[in-house]
Amino acid sequence: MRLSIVVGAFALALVLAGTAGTAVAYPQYQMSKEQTCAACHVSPAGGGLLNGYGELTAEDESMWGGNPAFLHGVLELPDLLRVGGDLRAAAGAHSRGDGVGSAIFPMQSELYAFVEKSKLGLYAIGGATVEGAAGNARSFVPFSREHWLMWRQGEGDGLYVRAGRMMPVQGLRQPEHVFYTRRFGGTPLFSEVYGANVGWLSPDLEAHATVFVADPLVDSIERGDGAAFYVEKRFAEGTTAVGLLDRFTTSDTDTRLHTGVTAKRKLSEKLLLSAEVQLIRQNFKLAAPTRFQLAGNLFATYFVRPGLFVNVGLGHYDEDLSIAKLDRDALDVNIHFFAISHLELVLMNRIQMIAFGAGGDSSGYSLLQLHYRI
Amino acid sequence: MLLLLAAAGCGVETDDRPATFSYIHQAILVPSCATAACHSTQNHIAGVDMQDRAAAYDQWSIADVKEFSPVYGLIGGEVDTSAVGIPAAGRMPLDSPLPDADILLIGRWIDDGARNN
Repeated sequence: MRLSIVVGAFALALVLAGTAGTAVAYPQYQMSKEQTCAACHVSPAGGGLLNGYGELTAEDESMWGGNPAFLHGVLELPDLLRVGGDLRAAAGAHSRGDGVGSAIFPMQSELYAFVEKSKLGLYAIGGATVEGAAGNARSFVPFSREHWLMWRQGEGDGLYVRAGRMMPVQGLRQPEHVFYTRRFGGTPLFSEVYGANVGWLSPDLEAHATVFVADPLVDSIERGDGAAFYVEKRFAEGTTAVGLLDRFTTSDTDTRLHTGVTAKRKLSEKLLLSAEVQLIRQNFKLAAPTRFQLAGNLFATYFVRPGLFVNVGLGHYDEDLSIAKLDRDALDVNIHFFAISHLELVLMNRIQMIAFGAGGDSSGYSLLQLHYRI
Repeated sequence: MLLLLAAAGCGVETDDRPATFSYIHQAILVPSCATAACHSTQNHIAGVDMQDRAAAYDQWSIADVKEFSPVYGLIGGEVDTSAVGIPAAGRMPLDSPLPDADILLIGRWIDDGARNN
């Protein structure tokens, strides 16, 4: 009976699905709360479905708490099954030098399920993606962004191995896909691939290696085959971390090599600095010069009180280092308010400048996002 | 990290990138326009697919390509700006508008006949 209710809830969500967006993970919590993403999330990469400790953290880190379990705890699930989901919508205004526009739109409607027995687990995300047509016509198509099989030594630490459709693990893994290190750094929204991933998680060290091929069935954003590596070492009782990333892809049109570093520094109980920078070499398989790109983000996160933090970010992206005025800079100020353990409001603000200091155009937007964790 | 960022934006003014559709597609349209929930093959919002090369070229080579030059008219070039239609959505992409140098490169390709080269 309980299982049929869960299956029914999945089907309902698929029907009602808006558009699959991004999984939610806040690397800001990694150092302020726990040392690894997997302390709170089922996925060793972080994001998406919370584990039991993650739900308790969601309750602890919200202003008014409330039962953090699936459907607020009204449905008791068997121990081997974990279910969750994210619903997200936003409204906002933007300005790009040619007037001001506004929009209200769905961002994410996804359900997660994880079944685990004897350290062997199956994880799946079910949702929908939007397909457009001429004009404003749109339809929603069922879509599974991730589905993978995993063996893990322990919950949140030790060795793990998994295979299936996933996002290769690299870098800070910020949830906001507009940040340059995600948008242009190899992990834009919907760039999941089929791959095999092995890794190690512990409080002072995490390492991940992924080999992958582009999705042969769905026209994914990532069309290259390749590999990604990320290692992060933490020092000084977990208050400082340094990471290294490498990613290589080859496709019909180009090869790309990303080399990057990450850093985190917990300055106090309320203030965390984090940064990621990538140098990207792109070789085209046509008669065109190789280009080098740079993508970087620097963040300062201030935890005002449980349930409220402010993330201020500086971003830089240079599309081609050999040519002037192809660089972009962004200032992001995002305010996250967790009202109850299932409900989050995010006020996102961005000012972006093209060729900063050389007379380029500027643009910006403000977006109020409502996020309900099922 | 700071040195790397400081080195950014110091390129030369001369843009010698090839004004061919193949290059423009791979270097500008795919990373900037073919994002999820926008003009990727999977999502092709407004019926526009900028990820697939053939589909993208079809979009840019419709009867009067200048009408689909989303932002070229904003900065001039040799195109008669009064004849350029700007999409109602405005300058693209929404989250990260193209630099003028990219728009000028696209404009050079248009002025050169918008060939499938």
